[in-house]
Amino acid sequence: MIKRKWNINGKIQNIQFEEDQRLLDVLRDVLDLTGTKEGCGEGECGTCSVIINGELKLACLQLAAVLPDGTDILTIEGVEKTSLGKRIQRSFIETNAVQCGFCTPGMIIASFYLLSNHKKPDRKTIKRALSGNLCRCTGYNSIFEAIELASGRK
Amino acid sequence: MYIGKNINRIDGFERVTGRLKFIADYKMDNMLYGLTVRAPVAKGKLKGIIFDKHFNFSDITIVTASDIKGENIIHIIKDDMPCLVKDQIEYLGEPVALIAAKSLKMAYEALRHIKVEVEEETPIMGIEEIVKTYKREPDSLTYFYRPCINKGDVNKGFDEASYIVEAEFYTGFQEHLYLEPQGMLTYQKNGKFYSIGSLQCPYYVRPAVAKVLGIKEEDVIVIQAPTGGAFGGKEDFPSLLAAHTALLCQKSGKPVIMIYDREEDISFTTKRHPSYVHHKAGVMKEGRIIALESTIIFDAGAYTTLSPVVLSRGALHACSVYNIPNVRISANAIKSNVPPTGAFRGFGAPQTLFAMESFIDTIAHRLKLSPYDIRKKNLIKTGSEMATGQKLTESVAIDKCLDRLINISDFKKKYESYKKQSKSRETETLKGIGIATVMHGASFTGSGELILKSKGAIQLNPDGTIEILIANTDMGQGVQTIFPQIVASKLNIPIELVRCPLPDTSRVPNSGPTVASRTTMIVGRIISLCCDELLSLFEKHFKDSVKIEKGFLIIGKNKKRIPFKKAAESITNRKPLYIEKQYDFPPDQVWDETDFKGTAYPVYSWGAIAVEIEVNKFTFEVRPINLYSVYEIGKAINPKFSMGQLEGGSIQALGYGLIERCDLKNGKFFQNRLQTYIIPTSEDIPEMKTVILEEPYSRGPFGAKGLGELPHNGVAPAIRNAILNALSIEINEIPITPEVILKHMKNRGLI
Repeated sequence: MIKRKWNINGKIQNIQFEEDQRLLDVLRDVLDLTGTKEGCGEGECGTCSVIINGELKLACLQLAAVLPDGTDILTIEGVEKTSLGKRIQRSFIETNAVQCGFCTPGMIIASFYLLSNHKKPDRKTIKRALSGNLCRCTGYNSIFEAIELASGRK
Repeated sequence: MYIGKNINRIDGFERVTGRLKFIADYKMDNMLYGLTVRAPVAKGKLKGIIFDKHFNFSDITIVTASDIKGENIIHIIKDDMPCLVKDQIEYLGEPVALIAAKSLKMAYEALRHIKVEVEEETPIMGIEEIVKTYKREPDSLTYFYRPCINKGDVNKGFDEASYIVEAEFYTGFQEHLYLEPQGMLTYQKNGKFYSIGSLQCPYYVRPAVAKVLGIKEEDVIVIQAPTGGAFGGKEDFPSLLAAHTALLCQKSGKPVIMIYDREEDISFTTKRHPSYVHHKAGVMKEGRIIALESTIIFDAGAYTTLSPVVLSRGALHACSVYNIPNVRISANAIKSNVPPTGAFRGFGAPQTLFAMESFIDTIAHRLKLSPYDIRKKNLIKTGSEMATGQKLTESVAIDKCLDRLINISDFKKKYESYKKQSKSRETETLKGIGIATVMHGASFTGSGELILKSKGAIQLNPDGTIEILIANTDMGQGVQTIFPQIVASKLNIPIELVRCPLPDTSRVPNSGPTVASRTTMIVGRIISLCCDELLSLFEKHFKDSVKIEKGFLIIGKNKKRIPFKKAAESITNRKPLYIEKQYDFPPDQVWDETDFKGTAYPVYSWGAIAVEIEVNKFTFEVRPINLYSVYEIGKAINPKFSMGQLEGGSIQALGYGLIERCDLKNGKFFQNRLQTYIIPTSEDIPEMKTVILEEPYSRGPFGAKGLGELPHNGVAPAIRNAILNALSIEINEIPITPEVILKHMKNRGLI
């Protein structure tokens, strides 16, 4: 068993997990943070997007054991505690950027990461920033609009 | 009134916060994790299932065909598909046995110690091989269904025509690629089996599970878990998956969950039917089509499943939106040794509409007519007669859609200028624009709705809230919001009083499956009828005339006002009031299934699409630049939801036409992961301009018609026609990847 002390969504937590577990399994099975989804398990769909130490990462490609004590992890469950997160979530509902909702947590994490680094991104920047997150329902337009709305561009 | 308003998704908060529990997020005490032991060949005899003697299977639940207490059949249309292989293997990966263990890790470990022994036979696979065999020895094939449509006299039409034009078209497999893979959980409580999962049709799953377990339907309760996309992929398949989890649950006595990983999902679940269409048309000099003869072949895969109805819809959309006096269509659903192909948004129509909408541009190209003019000369109008003899009486708007499209896309000018663009070496890209005009018949084909006899209900609670009780599922399209909009508007009460929970067969009547663009139009009508009934019950209760205005009942001539909540309290007498209604099938909708004559669909929705592209002359990569669409859908109950369906469907169709390739290699899908099966990303999509037109349908709730599948019908042929405009070559197959363009350029000696 591996023991770690991580800062998860702003809370220091002591956790134990198997050495071969992915961060995705630790989040979902050990910590019961099931908002992070598994869509493909090989880093293509983006449904498991999380922010680790300020960087956008895929939890399905991240071996948990290599993350040392003190690692900062932000998941969808932590996003709603921030004012930017709340704004993005409201915008997603407003522009109907959410249909089935399975890509949504990852999409919101990617949007949160984008808007944390660019205050008012243009369309091209938005498209690039979301290119690692697949959505099969919306056709993406409403998601672009949600980000523009949250950024105050619209 | 909430109709035509952009109401926010009622369950939006749960979805944006990650609080919504999908089936993979469920955990139960003592829950086991199930896996499937699969056939290693595409065709053969099952000789044995070998369990490694050195592995300890004592903690593993094992189910094979001999454990099935009921019938080893998954009932869909015909009873030809087994739940588990007994003797004969019909596709690679066909379920042979099931196992379950305390952890997924243990289950995988056990799976590695099970071997399936077979005697291999020669399979038939792939649409090209099917067509080759069909042309040489048609009697050697197995046909699941072979309907024909006849109108007028095709031979006479060919004799009278100025030109005869012929072409062949192919379309490939398409994977639904719902972001949430298939998943199901079955547990037992008080002698009943509960199956909860990601699914579209709870009342398909219930009888399927009961049949396999050998128990009464009433002892199976099916509950929809929030469903992460479906697109038809969770119409037929969940019946098989639920039967599997139920068998493991029956044998182990414990809850069993099965969640497919992506590779398993793409490899072994349903796909869109690959197709072949041969068209022969008799055309007059000015472009009028007077005869059309078509042969349609759909690759149905290993078992019948839904193929007869998919093929019917395909055949019924084969003439597209044109009024052709002489028609002969023969359609074939043919068996092959791949996983059964199944329901997918559009349900056969995208295949045949790709063929016809490409064919009409081929005719225009060969006769030197404009794609716009040839369509204008042949479009159906109110009063036109379809190939089945159906006379169109209302809500026919394809002419309007086309004219509006030409206007917003500037089609005529762009088409002419791209046709003349210099093909010189200096320019890296060539531009093109193509159009397509399509329709989609809303609700079940022919007598389908008559046979279904769908029932829906509303329940008025003593506190004045209303629950909508239907079997229809929200998989993203917005049922849980749209239905409260309909009820709150019919009754003139605040929408906050109305809710539409996810279906649970122990609570909701069978309002039919969530398929065929039928939910809003058909089930919405049933629920409207329930609201009418509630009003008349209020009149009986208060023994006077009643209408509702802004949440108040207005009673009698002296207009006594009672708040709706008070009125509810009074009429319910502390017990919920349950009102159930059945769909009132239109008496004038007559359909002859044997001869394919009569009213195939009560009404159609319409669409005109233009796609503007750039083709790289050196890499043959096609980039869609602009996508213009005009759709006529009767009435948009919630315009932003309608737009969500139209835009989302268009991009799924863009993938179908351009990039989504699924090839068979040695019986396997080569592109069986997300690294290889490519769907459009945020960077692949064009600028979109989408216009909604409304020509209300007299029987739809507030005039609404079906719209969910319509946007899948026209994008692929519009892309193909844009490539014809840009490169002057007819490419009659999709997806049109760079490799396909290269092949066609080489075949024509252009490079």
